[in-house]
Amino acid sequence: MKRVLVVLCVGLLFWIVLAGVALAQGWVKFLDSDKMLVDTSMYAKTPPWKIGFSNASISNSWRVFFARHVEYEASKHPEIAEFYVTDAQDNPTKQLADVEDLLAKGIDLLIISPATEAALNPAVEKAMEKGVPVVVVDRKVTTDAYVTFVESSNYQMGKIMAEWLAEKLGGKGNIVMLSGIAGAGPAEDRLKGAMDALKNYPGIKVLEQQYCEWSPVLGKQVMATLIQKYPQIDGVWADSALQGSGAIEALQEAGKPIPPVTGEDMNRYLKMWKEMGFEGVAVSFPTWQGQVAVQKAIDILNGIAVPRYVDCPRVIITKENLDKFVRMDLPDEFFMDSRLPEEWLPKR
Amino acid sequence: MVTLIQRILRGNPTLFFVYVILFVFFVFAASTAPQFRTVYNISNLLRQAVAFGIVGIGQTIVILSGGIDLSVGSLISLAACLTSGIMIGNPTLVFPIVFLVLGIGVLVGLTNGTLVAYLRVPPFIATLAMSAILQGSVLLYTKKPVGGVTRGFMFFANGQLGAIPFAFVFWVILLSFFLFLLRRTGLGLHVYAIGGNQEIARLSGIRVSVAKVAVYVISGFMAALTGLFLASRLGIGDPLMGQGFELESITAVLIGGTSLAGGKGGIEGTIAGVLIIALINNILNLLGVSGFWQWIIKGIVVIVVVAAYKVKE
Repeated sequence: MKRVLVVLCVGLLFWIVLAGVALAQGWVKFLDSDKMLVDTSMYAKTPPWKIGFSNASISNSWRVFFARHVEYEASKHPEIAEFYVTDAQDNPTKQLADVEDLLAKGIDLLIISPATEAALNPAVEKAMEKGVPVVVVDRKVTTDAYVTFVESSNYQMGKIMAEWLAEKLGGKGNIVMLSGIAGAGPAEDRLKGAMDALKNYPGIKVLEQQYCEWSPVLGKQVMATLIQKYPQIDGVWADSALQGSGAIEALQEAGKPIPPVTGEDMNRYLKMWKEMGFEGVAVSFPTWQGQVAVQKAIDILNGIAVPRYVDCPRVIITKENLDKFVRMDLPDEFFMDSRLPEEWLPKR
Repeated sequence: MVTLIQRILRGNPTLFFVYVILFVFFVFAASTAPQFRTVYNISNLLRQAVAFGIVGIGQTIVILSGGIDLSVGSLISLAACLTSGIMIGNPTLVFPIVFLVLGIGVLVGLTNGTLVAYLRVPPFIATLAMSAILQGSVLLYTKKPVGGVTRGFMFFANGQLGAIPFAFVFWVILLSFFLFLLRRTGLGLHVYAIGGNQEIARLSGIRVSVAKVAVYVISGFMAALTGLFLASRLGIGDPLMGQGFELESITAVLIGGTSLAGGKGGIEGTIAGVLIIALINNILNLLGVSGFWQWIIKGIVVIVVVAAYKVKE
């Protein structure tokens, strides 16, 4: 009897320890999670500071607005003595060289918007090894060697767009999908979000998915071909208003009624939407995440803890609040979920 | 030293001129940007020059023979993606992959060479078409950066021998080999002869077709090697990584004073061309000038050098 009791007690103890370990691991995981705050006291420095911003490119209007937000925020802080900007022209090899050059200039902090994910790992690792804290913004790297990552979830954006489209079509219909650049992180993440959302709508049939390089011209060409190929297109999922607006033009020229088309806060798309009155939705990929990145950079150099991951909230524009965002007097290429004052807006 | 300069000046004024430009850029950089003179920066600069340096050697030899190779950019992307995509951090696979990738480079070169030499397809068209085929293949293989290389493999591009980057030493060895090949072997002489005048070369008993195939094989091999280098440098292959390398390598060759018509110039000039391009990028970054100036300055340098070359003629 006694022996049985001992065995039971030992067994119980064993399970308690096991549960404890599991819980502890869960706890560790929680600490490790994206919501964790990063202690930055070791990066604290007295101003003046030298900050380097390695930009992937300014090859489309979203990137121009994004870069303006970075420079605008940097201009507001007199503690920043030098603010260097490099432009990698969408080339990861050049960007790695750019970062090396910035490090050679003795920067105190690096802000990087990588040309492609993963390929810039050596660049940020080099910086962190030199003791230069790194803020990654807009597109991710796949290494852990950075202090904070500022973005607006592309996965959520693609998902919201796809859910809206599926709901609009009553869960039934043929759609085409127009993505950005093959291999670019935001394009692939938006597509993944959309695909995951569409799993819940078996009635939605994806006729075709194409890459349009985030170009209105290419969006128009691709859509024109798709119109020829498929007589019945009930909806268009475009991961950005850049090719989305091109697709609308193609539909219009073909004399087709405009089906529901997704887009973002680009003025060109919003203007078309207001003028033509089709069913639309705009999910912003905030250009002001560049501004947030600079704010986090300044926190880091002040030794203030920053979150490991910052998700900038997106704005969803529907028929109801369209008038608050669309500006018929401003150029097409403007992004309306902007925090730039008038004098910082890009020149026409 | 003085006699050497005199000899170079007499024998090849274009080359001398190119090195003067390189020197001027260097002095300008050293005097305007104090960070330029640091060992860290110079070793960065040399490492950055190597990728264009390797592919530039192959491109120089093709252009010397009167051809052109537009397929190197896509071939670099393919080589880099295959390297990291198959390796995925497995050290035992490093050597088999290096052989496989270089083999693919040779195979692509063989195809280009056969098209140009035996089927008489103009080099511009043959290699442009090959470039499209290769780029399509890479994108079928992967649309995203793929896989990863081992830490040891990263030494190839990022390792240091003291203050000198290993990659730079590797490049110098390659350069000496190909300088020897061009100046001291039959194949080298044949390349110059064919570039100078193909008909005369043929009548002098040179096997033009064989030499042409060899030239494209060298270029394919060097492009594949550049792909290996870039995979090592970035730790991963990216399907768009080689974009622009075809034109950039031609720019380096032109700045180096090699004539697009073939037969004149050499790797000596390309070395300077490659270093000038790397310097322009480095200086402008150090001075904080917009990257677009880089294009303008590169364009101006090409025009100045080629014009000077024509005036001399």
